Amino acid sequence: MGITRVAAPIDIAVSGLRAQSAKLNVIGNNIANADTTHGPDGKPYRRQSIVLATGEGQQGVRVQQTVADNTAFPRVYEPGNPDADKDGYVETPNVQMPVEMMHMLQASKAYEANTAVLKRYLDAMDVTAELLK
Amino acid sequence: MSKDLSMVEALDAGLKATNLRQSVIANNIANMDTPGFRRQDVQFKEVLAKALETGKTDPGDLEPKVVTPGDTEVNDQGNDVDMDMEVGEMLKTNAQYKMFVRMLAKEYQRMSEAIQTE
Amino acid sequence: MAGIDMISGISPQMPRPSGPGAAQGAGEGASFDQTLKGAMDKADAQQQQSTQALQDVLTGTSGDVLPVVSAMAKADMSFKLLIGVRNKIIDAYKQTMNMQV
Repeated sequence: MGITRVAAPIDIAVSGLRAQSAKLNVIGNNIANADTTHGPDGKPYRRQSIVLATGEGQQGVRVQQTVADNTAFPRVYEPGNPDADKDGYVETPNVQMPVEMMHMLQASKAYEANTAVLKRYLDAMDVTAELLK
Repeated sequence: MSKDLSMVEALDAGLKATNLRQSVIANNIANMDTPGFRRQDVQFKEVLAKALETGKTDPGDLEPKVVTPGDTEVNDQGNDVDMDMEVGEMLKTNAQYKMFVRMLAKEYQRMSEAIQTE
Repeated sequence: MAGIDMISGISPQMPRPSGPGAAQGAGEGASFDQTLKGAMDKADAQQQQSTQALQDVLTGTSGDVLPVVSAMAKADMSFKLLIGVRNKIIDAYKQTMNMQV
């Protein structure tokens, strides 16, 4: 692991913040579209998630890709719904609120942890600068 | 045959190790959600103890090592980073680092006091 | 131990008073030397103790930084005492030099 640069922990923590922010964005989008039975393509909204990977040189983290969740759309009996099929069932987004809330909580905590790293490291750098006084 | 370190040499060694550890722990925290990622740590106590024993204590020989302990449980994503533990380690390392810096500053202050005669 | 080395360079240069006042002067010079040496030994020992305590922490022999910090504080006091003694000796020397007409 070639971590020799002075500001490495800053870059690493910032990459963590960006990754968790990206996660929070996608989770937010899932939640916002939890009831979108009819998207631009006429189909229900399909849940998305972010896959992370280590950054360049095994340092930090990056967003590798955004993947669609391929679990089946739940079918709900709603005969009055314009999107209902001939049997009166509507396909709804495969977003489950409790799951999304849990992921949002995790991503928030991870975001906080990276913030703590940044804050503490900047503090340490200040103390190091005291050597020059 | 063993050789002891001077105060400044010892502090330099401690600083090198804790400095590297700060980066390594920061990386663990950044990758707490990365599939397949195993936490890493810095090995130095053993390196130093061995060096003192064998008498090879050139500052150049005292290199802290990045290791992958692999003794922590992985979750279903193959990741073994425990956020709370890692944040705890980060705070510890941070405190140690600052302590060593302040000790080093005190040493330099001592030396400059010795030079003054007023 | 750079600081200690710089100080020990001073003692050999202190002149021995000669003439009528020599007996009394020699007595004073001896006690200065002793005080200085005593202070130097104490500071040296404390410094070594601090370094050893720090080394123990770094090798994992000890888990506690408190002994290190307290040893360093003691070493600091011993060192300041040493500097104080040294400076007093230098002052006394300067006064002695000024007394000669």
